[in-house]
Amino acid sequence: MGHPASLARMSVVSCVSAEHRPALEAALRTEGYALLSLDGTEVRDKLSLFRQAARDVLSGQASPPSSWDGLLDSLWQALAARDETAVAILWNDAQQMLEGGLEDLLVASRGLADVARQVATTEHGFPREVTLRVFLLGAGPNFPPFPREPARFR
Amino acid sequence: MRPNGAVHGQSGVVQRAGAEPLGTLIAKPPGEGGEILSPEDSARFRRERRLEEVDARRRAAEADTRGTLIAQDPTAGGQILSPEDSSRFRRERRLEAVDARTRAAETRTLDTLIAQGPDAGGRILPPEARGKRTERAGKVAPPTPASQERDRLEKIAAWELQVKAQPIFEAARTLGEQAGLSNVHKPPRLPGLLASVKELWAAGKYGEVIADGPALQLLAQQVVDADRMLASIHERYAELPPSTDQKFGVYRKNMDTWLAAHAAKPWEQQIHSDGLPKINNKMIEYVSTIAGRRETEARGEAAVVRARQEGRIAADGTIIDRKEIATFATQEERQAITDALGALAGGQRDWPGKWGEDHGNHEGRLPGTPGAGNYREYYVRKGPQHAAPGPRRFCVNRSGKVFYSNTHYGTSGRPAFWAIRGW
Repeated sequence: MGHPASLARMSVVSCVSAEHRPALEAALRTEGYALLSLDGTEVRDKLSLFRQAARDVLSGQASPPSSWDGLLDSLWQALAARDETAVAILWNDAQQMLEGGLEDLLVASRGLADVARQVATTEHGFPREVTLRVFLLGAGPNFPPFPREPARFR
Repeated sequence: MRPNGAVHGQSGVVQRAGAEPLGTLIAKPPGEGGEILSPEDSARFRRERRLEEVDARRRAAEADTRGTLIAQDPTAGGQILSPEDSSRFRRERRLEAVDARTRAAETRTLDTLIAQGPDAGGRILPPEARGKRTERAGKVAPPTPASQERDRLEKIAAWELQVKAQPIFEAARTLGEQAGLSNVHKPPRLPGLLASVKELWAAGKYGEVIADGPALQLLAQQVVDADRMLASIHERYAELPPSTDQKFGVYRKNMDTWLAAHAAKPWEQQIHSDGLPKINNKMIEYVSTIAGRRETEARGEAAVVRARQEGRIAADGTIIDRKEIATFATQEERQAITDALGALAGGQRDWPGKWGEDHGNHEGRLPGTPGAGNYREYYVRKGPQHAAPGPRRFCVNRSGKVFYSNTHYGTSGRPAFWAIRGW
């Protein structure tokens, strides 16, 4: 059973324990999100991310982008081509980026947040307002459970 | 006048003055006791004389056929010849005398004067003079026309040999001196050959100079050629960067190795093997490569300075070249760029695709801090060959300078951007 209130408290790019993926997906569906899976089994750095994103997220783009700006612009186009107004990207095995790919993960996180901001408005040519969220699913202490326990206040 | 009143002649009839002839005087000098003969003895005497004369002419004729006619004065015991033989004999003697004087005039030296004895048709000399001639004749061979001609030809041949040998000697000596310039190529055979040719030259053995000269010339020329090549290599060696140089240090290391190996070879191999030309070719290649790289670097440095002044250096270090719109390949692309620039300048907002969105410059292919943004992005109309929305983009900085990409920021080729407006 999802917890929409829990989703509302989470950032555009969030980390979630892979064990809690079913609960997360249920909550997203409840909120009307279309789910895009990014298989991170082989993703360990920038280039492997570009290749995998081209297959899983960019609608099978012929050639993978060669730059962050190319990737993010392609994602912008891919989202513009869809009809949904809420899209969630679930990137599994994201913990692999923590072993030598942390900096690339930070850039990816920043760029995805930029795209989420760009597609949230039609001011600069995006065809509709879209809510984009990205979830990094993995194992270990960097990936908390879902739903998260509400903060305790004294 | 004799004591008995007779008139004395060398030969002939003796008669008392105013009286009948008394007989024939035997041809003897007066001191040897000639006598008056009776008519019978006189007749016998004259008959015997005639027989002797016939006999003398016969012997003279025999001698003539052997070519040994002897010209002797009758007082020296010579034979009496017939008038014809005598005339011929004297003519031949005169001819021989003329010939001898001619030869003497030609030689012009006392040593070549020919001592001719009486049996060779020469003049009759006094005993003391004859002894001197005999002495000289024993030392100097009498010249003949044939020997003189032979001497003349030998002199000409020697002169011609010297003329031929001279340039070879000079050239060999010059080359030999040049070959001595090198401290590396000093063939042991060269000084010996050079000395040999000098000695032969001094001794006038020009034929041997000619025989040795070409070998020396060739050897010296090879040494000189090798020297020049080695000098050229050493001259260029100074242009090589030190062996610690990251890029080109290996060039100097290679040269050190090869030159050391070359110097360790016997001199014949140094000159005749193709090792030295190979080293020379490699050195030319190295120097050319270094010069080319330096030239490129110099050009690059100047371009970097200008690009930095104009704000065209990307965060990743790439120089973003300026490009005029008119220089793009197709009219369609030129028009697409022009149209997008017009829309940008006119403040148009309903342009298809992304128009004025933030551009993060995450990859640093534009000037400024990667990921810091500060650019606006605009789609440019795609070409007919592209799937929508195509790869053409403008990225405009806060100063209004326009960077254009027709490769989707470098995804489909290079360069990632051109600087097309604002410079």
